[in-house]
Amino acid sequence: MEQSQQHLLQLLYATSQGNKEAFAQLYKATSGKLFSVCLNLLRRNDWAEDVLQDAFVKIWHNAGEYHADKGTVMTWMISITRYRALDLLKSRRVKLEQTDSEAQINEYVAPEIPTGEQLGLVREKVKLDDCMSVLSEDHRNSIQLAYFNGLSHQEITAHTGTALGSVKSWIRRGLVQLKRCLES
Amino acid sequence: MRYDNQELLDNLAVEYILGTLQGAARKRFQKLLISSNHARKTLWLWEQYLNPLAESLPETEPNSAVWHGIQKRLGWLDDTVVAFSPKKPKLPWFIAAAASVLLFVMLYLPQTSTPAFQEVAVIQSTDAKAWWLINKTGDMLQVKALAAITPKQDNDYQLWMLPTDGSPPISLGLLPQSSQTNLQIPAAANNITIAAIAVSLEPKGGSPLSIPSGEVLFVAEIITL
Repeated sequence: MEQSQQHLLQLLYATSQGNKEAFAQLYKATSGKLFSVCLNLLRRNDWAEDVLQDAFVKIWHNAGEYHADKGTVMTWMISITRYRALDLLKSRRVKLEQTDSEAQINEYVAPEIPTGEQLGLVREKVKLDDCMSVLSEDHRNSIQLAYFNGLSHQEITAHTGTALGSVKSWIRRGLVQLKRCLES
Repeated sequence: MRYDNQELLDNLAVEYILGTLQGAARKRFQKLLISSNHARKTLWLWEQYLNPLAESLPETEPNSAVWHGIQKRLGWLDDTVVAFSPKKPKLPWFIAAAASVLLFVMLYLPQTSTPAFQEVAVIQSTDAKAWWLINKTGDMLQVKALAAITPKQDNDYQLWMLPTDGSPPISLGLLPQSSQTNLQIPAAANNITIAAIAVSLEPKGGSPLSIPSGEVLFVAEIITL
């Protein structure tokens, strides 16, 4: 197990025991990445902040429910954050307006800190990159648009100018290939 | 729908993660996750496959109000108490984490020539060794480094004030490691009641964040004599 995962695991375990300091450290170590996840999906700073708060409140309450089958601590925390963001996208029927979103995001870009190792995702990421790179461009783009930006099939269709059926099958076929590669 | 079909489960899990599974289909899958161990494991597997995608995103530091809001939602900050009992402030988390505490004493010395008061602060260690002497005049702090300082070539010591309302600390600037310097009290610190001050050890040039990034070495509530 990577040291980083070990470290986050210790913090999460202490958090599950009610240790506020550990929770604060967990926040410090992971909030930058999770906030980017929110910003990319929601494209609005205020919503992203709301979702980040919701996610960490949930992480505090559910820390004891984490176990290794759910992946690394970071994977688990990203999932919690993403699902909350997707819920909010749905409930507010967000129309993804690209117009001012870039400016909003750019305002909040902090100096990048290479904390991949710290977050325990590097090894998985390298493999994922390898596998993504063998996908066709259409497959890769569709998956990325859906994952990062929370675009629906219809929105991807509009974005890429492709028929709905194609987008669906691109994502499906791309992911079948991706799975095969990741499991090899 | 046949949920025992692995390929179908894979598709549903992936679309659930991506957010492309919507409406009634999303609800059905959520229901399945509760009842089917296999569906849950499939979902977790795909989360492990896909979430490393987020690694390519740059880090974006959230506004410190977010952390404040989280603490508030968890009931860790009681605004009423904080607002009306400034002598017992709730201190931010990193203060609780401080390794040691320095004594900070605010002295109000009557000056002979004028009725005004001079504000002097001494930052000293618990073994009574003085590290810095701070003299406040208007919105300027004259800070003098004293002999007890442990010099750090690769780091700076940074001074922070901590508002009583639990809002994020405000940097007052870098403390000199020798001789003396003048620090301007930032406009953001106006009309704010100070609960405590803190000194953190930072990279050269100070914290890259708006809050202490390094170890908080010393924290002290203010004592007025």
